Amino acid sequence: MAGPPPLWTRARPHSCRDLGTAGSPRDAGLWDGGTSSISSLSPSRAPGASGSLPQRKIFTSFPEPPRVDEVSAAEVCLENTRSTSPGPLKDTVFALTVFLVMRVGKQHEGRVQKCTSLLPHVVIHILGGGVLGLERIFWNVPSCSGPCSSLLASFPAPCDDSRFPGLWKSPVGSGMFQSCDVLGFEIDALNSVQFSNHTGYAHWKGQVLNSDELHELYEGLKLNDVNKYDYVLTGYTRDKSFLASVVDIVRELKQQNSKLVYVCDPVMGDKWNGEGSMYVPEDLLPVYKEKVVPVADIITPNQFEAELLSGRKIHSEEEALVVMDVLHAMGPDTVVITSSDLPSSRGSDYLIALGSQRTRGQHPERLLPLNDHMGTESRGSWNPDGSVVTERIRMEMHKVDAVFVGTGDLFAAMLLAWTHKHPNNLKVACEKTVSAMHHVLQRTIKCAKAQAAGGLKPRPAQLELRIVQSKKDIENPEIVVQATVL
Amino acid sequence: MEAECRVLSIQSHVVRGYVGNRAATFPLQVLGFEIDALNSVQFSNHTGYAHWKGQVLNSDELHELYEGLKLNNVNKYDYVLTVCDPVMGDKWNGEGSMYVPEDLLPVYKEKVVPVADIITPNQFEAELLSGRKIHSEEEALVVMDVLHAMGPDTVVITSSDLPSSRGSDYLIALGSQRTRNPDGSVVTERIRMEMHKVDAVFVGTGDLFAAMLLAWTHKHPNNLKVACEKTVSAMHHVLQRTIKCAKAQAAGGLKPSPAQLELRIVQSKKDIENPEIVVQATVL
Repeated sequence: MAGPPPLWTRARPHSCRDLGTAGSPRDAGLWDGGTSSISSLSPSRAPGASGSLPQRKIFTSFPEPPRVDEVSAAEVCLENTRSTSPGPLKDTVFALTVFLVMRVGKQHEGRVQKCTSLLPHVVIHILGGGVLGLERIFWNVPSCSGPCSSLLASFPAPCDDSRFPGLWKSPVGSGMFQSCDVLGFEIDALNSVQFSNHTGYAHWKGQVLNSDELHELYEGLKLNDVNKYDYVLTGYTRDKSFLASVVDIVRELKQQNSKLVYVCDPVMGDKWNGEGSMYVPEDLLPVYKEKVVPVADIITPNQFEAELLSGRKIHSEEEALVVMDVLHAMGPDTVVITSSDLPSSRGSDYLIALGSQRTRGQHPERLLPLNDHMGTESRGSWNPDGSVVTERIRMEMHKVDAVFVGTGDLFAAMLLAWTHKHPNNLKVACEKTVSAMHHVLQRTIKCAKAQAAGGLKPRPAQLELRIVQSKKDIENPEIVVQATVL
Repeated sequence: MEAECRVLSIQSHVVRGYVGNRAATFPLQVLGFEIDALNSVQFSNHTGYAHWKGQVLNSDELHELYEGLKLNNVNKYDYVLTVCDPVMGDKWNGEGSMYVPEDLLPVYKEKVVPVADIITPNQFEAELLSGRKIHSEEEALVVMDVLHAMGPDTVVITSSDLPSSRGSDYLIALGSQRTRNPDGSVVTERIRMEMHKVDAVFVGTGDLFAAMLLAWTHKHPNNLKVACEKTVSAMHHVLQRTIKCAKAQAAGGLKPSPAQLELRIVQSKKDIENPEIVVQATVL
């Protein structure tokens, strides 16, 4: 392994909103100010560590959510310390705490609020008054003892804890995804339309939000100073001006939180029998290309949409990889082509999905997104020795002989959740997402066929995704698909 | 495969926070109900914040949405949730005041309550609907019978200022459920619950209560005691978590803001799915 591994990817606010994160008018930049002050602390490798320290996500993972009375006054999370003189853990922690508290505490009238944990399983709780009072130290790592450095050195592999109490806010441009809720995310749903049902039914009726109304709703959030989000998720939009308004909002939210991740499903059309056609007005394509995709961090086009955005056709896997690189160059560091008509070695029963994730290479400084999504203002430095690493995967997914509606929306939501929990592991994130999709679709087609008695083809109403019934599969999907790393 | 239980919930929607449909949907979904949410408004947040903005559905638009369901022949529901929660008013310091326009009261009395099966008024609303004041538990039981006579077989007075034997820290809730036996006789199960007060103003608790009561009365159709114990226990866990989190967020002993007091519904998923019972209902 060349060079020390980065100790974290993107700094994220720590787990629970209940611990003083976004949403509170008083959280006054703990995440904005706080995270940047923390990230400006250079993490270090514990001296004497053998091998490299694994990458860490930025949240604590408690087996159970922490009792809030333990974190009521303040909570500071330990990061790897540059421990030049390994002493008892407490001293190191104390010193670090003082440092963090002084950096962060000023903004909070002397009381430190929640900030990120850069080391899972190690959380320092500072209770009660007194900035320097270290009253309790909690470990989730059993039988820990000895100096901080050796503890950190012996830390196990990146945790894969799916029972994580993290809560992230993300306004949703279309539809409301309860799947995000069961995965522990706080989701603010801004409904772009209200229809009786989707447009695949024989009839549909309802009302569409115009971009003034969208602005009005966003304005309400802004006035209350609660427009602080970690993610934005958008999907199907038909209206050019609405889409442009969404982009304005995303830009502003990124100013509120530079670490915000915009997950965009660029819904434009699909292929049937090899022929692609758009199911939104054609004038949306330039808006996607020029405005939306450049501020997106994760996009989930199907093959047709990937071709439209990149301006290049895909006839082979090689061409698909080129197209994904073109899409990366437009903005997003993560591109998942959710379905394609590329041939699968397993036969015509299978379809191919491809994923590509670019990360800045191995550098002890925090990873920066390769593209600056802050507009013209350049923030962060381009690390001179930061090499680009691209993780590419292929997945073969069993086709289901039916037309489902909403699968793309469900996919994007779950991909958001799983890439959040596995930020540098597109393989695992996609395996979980696709596996969960598989279980939902299998249950749906079974139920639909049961409802459409007598071998009849199920109707749209019967084919509604059995999301509620698939709660357990969504929370903890049994992996049924292996992604091949290319 | 379990039979799907479908609920049509006609309530407000907020982008951020947990009131109306937002308070009802997640709990009902995690409890396995298929809930169709018809949003009567879309606001940025509830009206207890300093600011709120959004749009209201008019009755044509409401009809239009229902029409869509009807045309597709999917307007088949086991429950409708809205009719049962007559949000009208509350008492502060003994003084009642309405927080929905007063011209709705006759509509509720004459049209809504008669078609309701379950209603969850607070004491003030129960008094308004029945036209009788409640000064004692006996009077409350009489009022519940009056409400039964208007239509609903299940009446839960979700909060009252009746004195509790446990002290001023507790508030009394009462429930009454009438069931008709095959031989035509009527049996009324009445219960009392004493719930620990929480020193804060929450918004959305009534909506959450109504949704969970729907779920638990569905699962325990002839056992109001158990249904209420589960509902109230789940409420307790949600409120406890909420107030703790809110106080943590509002540092320095300040009173938590409305944003901080949003119900911690997502975080309370397990408590909603399977609430640890922390309240005993007394059968009267």
